[in-house]
Amino acid sequence: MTQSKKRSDIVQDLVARLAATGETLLGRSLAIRHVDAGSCGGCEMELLSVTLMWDHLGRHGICMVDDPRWADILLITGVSSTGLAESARQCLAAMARPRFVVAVGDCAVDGGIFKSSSSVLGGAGAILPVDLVISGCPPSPARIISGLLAVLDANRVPSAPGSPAGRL
Amino acid sequence: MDDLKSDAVNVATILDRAAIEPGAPENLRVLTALDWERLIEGLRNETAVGFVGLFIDRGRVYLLLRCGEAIVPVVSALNEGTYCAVSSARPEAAWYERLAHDLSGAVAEQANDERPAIALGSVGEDPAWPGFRDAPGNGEYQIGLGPVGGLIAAPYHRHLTLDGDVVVATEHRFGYTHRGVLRLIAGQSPRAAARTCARIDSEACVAHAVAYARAVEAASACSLPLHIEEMRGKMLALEQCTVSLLRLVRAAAAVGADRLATRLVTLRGTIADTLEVIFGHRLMMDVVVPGGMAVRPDLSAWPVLSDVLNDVDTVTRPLGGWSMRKRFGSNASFAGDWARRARKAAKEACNAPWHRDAEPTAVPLPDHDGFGMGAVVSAHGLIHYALSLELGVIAFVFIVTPGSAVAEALERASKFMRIDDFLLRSVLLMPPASGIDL
Repeated sequence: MTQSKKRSDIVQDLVARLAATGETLLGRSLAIRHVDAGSCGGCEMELLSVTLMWDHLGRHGICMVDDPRWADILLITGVSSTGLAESARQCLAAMARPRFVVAVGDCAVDGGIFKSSSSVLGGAGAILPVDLVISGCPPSPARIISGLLAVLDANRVPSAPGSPAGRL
Repeated sequence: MDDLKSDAVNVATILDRAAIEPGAPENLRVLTALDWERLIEGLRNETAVGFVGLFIDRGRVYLLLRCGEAIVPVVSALNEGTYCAVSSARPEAAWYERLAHDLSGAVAEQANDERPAIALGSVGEDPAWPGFRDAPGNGEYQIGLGPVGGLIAAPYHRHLTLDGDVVVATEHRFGYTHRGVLRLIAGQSPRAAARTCARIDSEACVAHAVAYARAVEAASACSLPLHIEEMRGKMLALEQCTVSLLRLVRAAAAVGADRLATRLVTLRGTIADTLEVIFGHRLMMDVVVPGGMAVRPDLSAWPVLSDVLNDVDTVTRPLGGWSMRKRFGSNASFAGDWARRARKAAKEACNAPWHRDAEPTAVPLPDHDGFGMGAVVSAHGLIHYALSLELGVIAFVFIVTPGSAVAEALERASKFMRIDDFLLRSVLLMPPASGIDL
């Protein structure tokens, strides 16, 4: 019960900050495109929990999308393997501005324990300009959501007088 | 040639007369090049002997064969970088021959598939691949899916040949998530390499760690107390339960059963939260190490976990109902199978005895070099490690994972299936690509 209360608080926090920041910056929605650049699948498990366990996120305009042209955030998991580096770059190139790149998990932060491998380029920063990293192996769903809050806060733009920010 | 054929029919005879190199739990059978060819010839007709895996290390080709309950390692020297292909007798060996070529350059002569496995862009004009085998027939069309696609998608490419909405042929292209795991492990100490093994495949973190630990313990002649084996068994059951639940989550979401998916993912999330309290990690990574366990479980959260595991039966019960069976259609039996496995694993985890505080969680590894193997049945199938310890570090390692075999089975099964049914079956059965690419 305590846990579900916490989860609900996190969602409300995210929604409030999206109202304050996202409305002016992102048009009242937060669309996330995920790219697995060489993950073991652990971060994807937790992402699945984020998208399904807090399914009411979708009601507030926060959702995963499968087309990068609709996405505000490119969420990268896993090491940057040579086989997927170009795919990740193309995905970012297809996204409209403003756009953010968030690296999720220790592997995406700096390559993790695979960083010394010759088949690995490093973390997401080795192939893309990263706006925020969310560490953890894998990070818990709450941590991923907190990271999304942080990226909104970090890119907050002052609201114009009379703007509808905060109305969500 | 006649001599070769007459000897080849009896695989057991060839293995019996082979020279022996020490290994555990089975000794290595060292064959001459001629006996290797006889063995391959014999495997054509020998149904009692199964293929497990194949790899190359330092000028030798290793073949793992299943003989009854045992997995027997057979080895032969390469002849100027070549060896007689096993895939001519056992088609399932083709993936391993391709992988071995990409990793070591060794050539399998008379192999039935010579395409690269993971060395994308290395051959031909196609920057990613020399090409797929299936050409569309009259009225058929082809589509490619991946490696980036879907909401949370696994990074592999699926090449489908379709006639209307019926699948005619399927091919998979792997290698996108190749991280050089085998080379990375070689040269590490047994304890340090355990961290890498635990991160190969998130749906088999504990299974990989246990199989690896068993291989190291076999190579170093280390025997474990029973209570540590029991603890590992309990962790394997917990992992099977969570993986089964996650498979059902994905499948339920795919058929539009959102409420069931949410209930299942919440249950799995609660189990993961509790596992983090008990083992210090949501997926139980870095807990199992060669010689025992790196972490003493915090049993204060066990009553909570026990209660949650008892809910598995209730939450998975709707999957046996008529409405869910209708949604899953021809894949209902696979979904039902995952539900049964989740319930069984939850029950096993609840019933298995817990480690007592007074008992040690690990024993020191003896200072002993050698060849060792370890196996574990994960949620997707057999995981098998073969490795050699030299001067206290891992000289080489090879890992057999079930992924490539599952992908091939899916390719065969896809023929004449409706595309929606096939994609759902893939959601239910396809293991993570990271376990295949290594």
